[in-house]
Amino acid sequence: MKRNRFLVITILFAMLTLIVGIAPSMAQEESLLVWAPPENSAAVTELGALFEEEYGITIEVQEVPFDQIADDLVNFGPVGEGPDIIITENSRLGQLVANGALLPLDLSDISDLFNPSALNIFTYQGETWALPFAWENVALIRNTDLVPEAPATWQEVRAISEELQSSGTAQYGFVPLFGDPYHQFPIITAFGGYIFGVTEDGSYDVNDIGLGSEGGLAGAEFISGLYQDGLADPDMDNDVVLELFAQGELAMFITGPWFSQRVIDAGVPYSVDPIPGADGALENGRPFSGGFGFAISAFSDKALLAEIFIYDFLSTQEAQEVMITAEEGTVLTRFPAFNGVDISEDPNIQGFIDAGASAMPMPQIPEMGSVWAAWGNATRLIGQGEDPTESYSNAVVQIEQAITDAQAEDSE
Amino acid sequence: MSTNTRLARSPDGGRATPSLENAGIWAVLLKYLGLAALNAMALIIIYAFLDDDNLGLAIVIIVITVFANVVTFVPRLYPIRWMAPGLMLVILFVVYPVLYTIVTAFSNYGDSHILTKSQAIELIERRQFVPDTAQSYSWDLYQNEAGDYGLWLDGDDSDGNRVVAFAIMGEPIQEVETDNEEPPELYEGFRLLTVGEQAQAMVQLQNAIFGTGEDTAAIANRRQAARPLVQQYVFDEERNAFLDQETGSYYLANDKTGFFVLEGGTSSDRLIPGYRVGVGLSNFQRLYEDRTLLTPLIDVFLWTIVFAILSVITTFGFGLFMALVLDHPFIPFPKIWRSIIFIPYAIPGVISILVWRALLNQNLGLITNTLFELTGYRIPWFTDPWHAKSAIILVNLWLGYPYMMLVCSGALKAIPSELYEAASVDGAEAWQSFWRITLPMLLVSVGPLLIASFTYNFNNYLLIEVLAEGNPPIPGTSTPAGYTDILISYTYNLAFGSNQGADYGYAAAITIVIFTIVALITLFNYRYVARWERVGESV
Amino acid sequence: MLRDGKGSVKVSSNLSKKASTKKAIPDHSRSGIVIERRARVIGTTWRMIVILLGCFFALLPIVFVVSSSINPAGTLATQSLLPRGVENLSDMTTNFEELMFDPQSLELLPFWRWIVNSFIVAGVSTVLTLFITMLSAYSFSRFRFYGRRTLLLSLLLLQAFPNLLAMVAIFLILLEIGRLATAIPEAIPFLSFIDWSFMELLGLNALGGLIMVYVGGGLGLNTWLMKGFFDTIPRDIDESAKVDGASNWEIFWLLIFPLVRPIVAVIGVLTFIFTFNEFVLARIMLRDTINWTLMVGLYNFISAEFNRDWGLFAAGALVSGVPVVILYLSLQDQIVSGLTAGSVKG
Repeated sequence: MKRNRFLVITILFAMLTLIVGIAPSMAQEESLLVWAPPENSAAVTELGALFEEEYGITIEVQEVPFDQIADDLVNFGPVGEGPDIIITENSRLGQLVANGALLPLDLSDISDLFNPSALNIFTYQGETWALPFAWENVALIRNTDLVPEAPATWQEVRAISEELQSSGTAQYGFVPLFGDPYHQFPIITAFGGYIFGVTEDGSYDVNDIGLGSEGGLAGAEFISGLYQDGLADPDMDNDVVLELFAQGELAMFITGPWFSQRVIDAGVPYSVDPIPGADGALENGRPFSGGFGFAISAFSDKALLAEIFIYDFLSTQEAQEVMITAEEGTVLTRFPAFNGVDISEDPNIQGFIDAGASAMPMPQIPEMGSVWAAWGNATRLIGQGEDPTESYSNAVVQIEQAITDAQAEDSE
Repeated sequence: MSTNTRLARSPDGGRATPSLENAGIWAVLLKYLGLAALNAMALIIIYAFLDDDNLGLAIVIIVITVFANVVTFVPRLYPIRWMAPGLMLVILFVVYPVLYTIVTAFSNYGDSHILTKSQAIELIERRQFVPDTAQSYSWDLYQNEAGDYGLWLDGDDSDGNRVVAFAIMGEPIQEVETDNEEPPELYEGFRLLTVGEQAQAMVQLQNAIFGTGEDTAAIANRRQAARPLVQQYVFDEERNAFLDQETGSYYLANDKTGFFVLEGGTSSDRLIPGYRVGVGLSNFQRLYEDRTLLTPLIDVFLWTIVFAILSVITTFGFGLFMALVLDHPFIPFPKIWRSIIFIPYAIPGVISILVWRALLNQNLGLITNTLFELTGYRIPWFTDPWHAKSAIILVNLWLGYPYMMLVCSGALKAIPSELYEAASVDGAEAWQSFWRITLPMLLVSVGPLLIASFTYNFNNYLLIEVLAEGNPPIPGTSTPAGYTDILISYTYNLAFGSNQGADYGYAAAITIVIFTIVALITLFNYRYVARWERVGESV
Repeated sequence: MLRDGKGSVKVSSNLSKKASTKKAIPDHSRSGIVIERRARVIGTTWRMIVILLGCFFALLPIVFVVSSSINPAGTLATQSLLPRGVENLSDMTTNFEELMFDPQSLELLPFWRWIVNSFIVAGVSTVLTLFITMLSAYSFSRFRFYGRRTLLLSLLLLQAFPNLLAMVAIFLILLEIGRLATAIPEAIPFLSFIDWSFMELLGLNALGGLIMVYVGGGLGLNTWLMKGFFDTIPRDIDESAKVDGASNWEIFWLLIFPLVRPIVAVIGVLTFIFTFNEFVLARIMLRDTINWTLMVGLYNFISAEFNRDWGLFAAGALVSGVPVVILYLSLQDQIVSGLTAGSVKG
């Protein structure tokens, strides 16, 4: 029995020693801490080496998943466990700014180095909050064997679908991603739909919800028609769509540069086209544009040093190229925000950028929170064969309800 | 030595200090030394926490320490002494977070209100501005032999005339006459620092003020220095308000809404961010008053109950069945089969759920396609409410049965074999012995586990969100909801996808309400636990 | 004599009753070795069919995890077993090589370090959990004291509390514990001769802190489970030992513990798997790549919105599944060996 007790104590002691052996390393003297998502952490680490060489300041990188960076910063930054710099996407600006978590940037004298659209994405409430390195939007991918000419309108797309299906050439002409408002937005906008109206001073009017507008309902009607007439099927996600495209059973779909490599790997002759418009409405559908950039935490006590990193170092071609360079043997997954970065080698990016000519930044206002859930459900219901007008109108009711609830609570 | 055979059942341990009787003097000494060390450590930690203004944690440590001492010195608490190490950890890592959640439920903690008031004040006080009357410059950094920093300032005044100055900390700012566009390499013993050296100095100079008295300059940002640079908002304790030094107006702290609101302005003229305040019962009130929330609630609640119960029954039933099937002397390579059937538990849940989702895809899913070829019916797994629900139960069965199988294998073996022998002497049929011996004995040991499994599935957010995201949606509801949404996914989506971003206070209130429901159900079930326990005792 | 399971084979007189009881099929033969053998064959056959079906059910999704792990494109392969892009054998190991042997990616994502961390966390958590749980369970099972039921019930109820916000609270606790390393010397200067930095090992971004959280968090359920098994052990055992003058500790350690080994193994396996696979808490508590556990590392491969690297994740998941399955294999004998009930009547 004594031996047993001795054994237990020995084991526990050995384990404690082990823990002690794995002590966390102490922080270095002059350094900046960057939170980067897994997609970018390797690039930021590489940047860090360059920066250290030039400025003698170490860059520590902590990998945090994209959808967690903003939440973690606003929760853990105030207690001193946040970074000095984060990589963020523009859709999080509303949340970050509302919590006072970012320092505004003054990019005026380097703004001509960047694509104006990319800078515009990070402008919110009259300030610029991040130095962009990449941006993106969706485009129409088309199998050029099945559809030699790019369709100009969604009505044409539908006609092509019917023809391909009836002739037995391919199962589908075009299918929307099931229940995915982000990817269906360009179709809705082509028919004149929108999310929030814009007031005279350029801000969003949350009382004018454009999903229920004439154009919004026309778009919903069009998408519903595809499902009703068997031109599209429910439960088609990215994987299904890419698989059908590779099999030659699908001629056209909407996706972004993030799937560029998979589109190439499908081994089908293809073209990256602008989003079609609609007869009697817009010339081109309007996709959302999204951006990725570096921002300074307002909780950091090294803001001046962080500014050197952002203004002096990240505005160089060398640094921007590191952030955008694709993995060996693959193609770019986003567009460079920096004008000087050469993209002529890439087979698809220019096509996506051209499709982005009609793009609009996703609204960053907090009201978008209640839009996604309601709109997503309506989109799914249409895919399941429910009435499009009813589904969209109900989504508008849900959004209005949420907004009035919030306003009522806010004014208390 | 004691001969008190009833000790184990006596309510107060029976003897004064049972453990001491067998222990030597050294053990006693060791015990008290250990306790003394623990107390000393606790005192240090408590003092450090109090010094750090961390009252909450200090109280928790005090509670834990008092608990440890009481348990050691009060003989009646001898049984608790066995649990002391565990209970101490439970207090710190389970009870305290629960209390934290409860406190949160009465606050407006959430986006825009993440910070405490003092954190918000600290953050807002950091903001600076360049007054209209101030001179703004571009700057370069110098350093002399002694290590003092100097700031070369170069800018235009309001009339467009160039102004150049040199500023050192603690000394009057000197105006400099120069025609050179570029700053000089050397200036009065100060050397222009390279970009790298400037970077090295930045952390030190974060809040540095150059110059002296009224005439000061400071680095505002990478682009400009200002003479002077002024703190924009100064907190006035007495008025409980921020003075905006740029406009002279006040932002009054509204401790009901947690915002600093402009005096005489509307409620939207406020400083960002707000701060955390107690809001009383308003989170619960909102839950109660929100009629739109209530319409889909009954459907969601019923499905939650059905889902949790079916999950327990299917996983336990299948797990026990497999355990019984495998518990047989003539099966070849039992270890191999057992391990294979156990594998689902060794694979991280998220990947399995996503593979299932793909397997059940309506268009290309392997299972859907195989069934289509066999039956000619393409199952709409995720667009039909009933099929979606069965898909969820099916996947949860796959995820959960290995756990039940493992526990049942252990439990089956823990049933004393004499019981079966006695039964078989009585000539009991196999089925009878299963119902009369195996199952009741099994429930003694795994009964609580079934209750725990029920409560776990009641709140199984991960499965619902990853597999179907609550879909398919219920048409025509006043708040977005899906047929497979369970209580927690439905309400959390409201709390986190709402208009003001994440609302932790509301989520905490929801958590407490859901916990109350689960607790009531558990208490109801607990009567059976008590019964099972008596079965165990009668053995 | 009193052994069951495989042991009963030796006791031929016991065999028929034993087998028929356990087979749970109607046994119409009360005599005759031939019929008995037929029943045995039937029993084994249907069991094997059930087992094979069970294996099929268990492995169906796993096959696709394996398929994804050999998919160099990094996508979830569910359309065909051999994914597109696999042209030769070396393509199939792309993900495994990148994950485990590629020096460039290992520098960024130290796979082996994660494995070591995971083993430390899971191993220490399991041992501590078992030890602490056994003590509590013994007390709950063997002593009757005022408030016992309330305490038991509270433990069960606490376990049912949705722990969404607990994460924030636990983060703050570990943060403060870690800060004690500097807070103590500041608050109590005369103690600054001691190196308090060991406190950081129990704080944020350290394995020690995470282990404490795991042990504390899992205690309620495990105590219940363990207590349930303690309850099935007849009290006569400790009563008679007590008559012989054994102390509570001796009864617990020398008598009860050997008897409950199966369930100790069960809870051990469960705790090990849970702590090995847990990533929600671990991700928030462990910040530096070097301190990550394997699961935190793996989940980062699939945390991107698009282009999730399922290949690396699947490969990692399989590799991490191996030790778990080996652990289960090696503890199986413990789990299914059952009571060594000889001592009961002894």
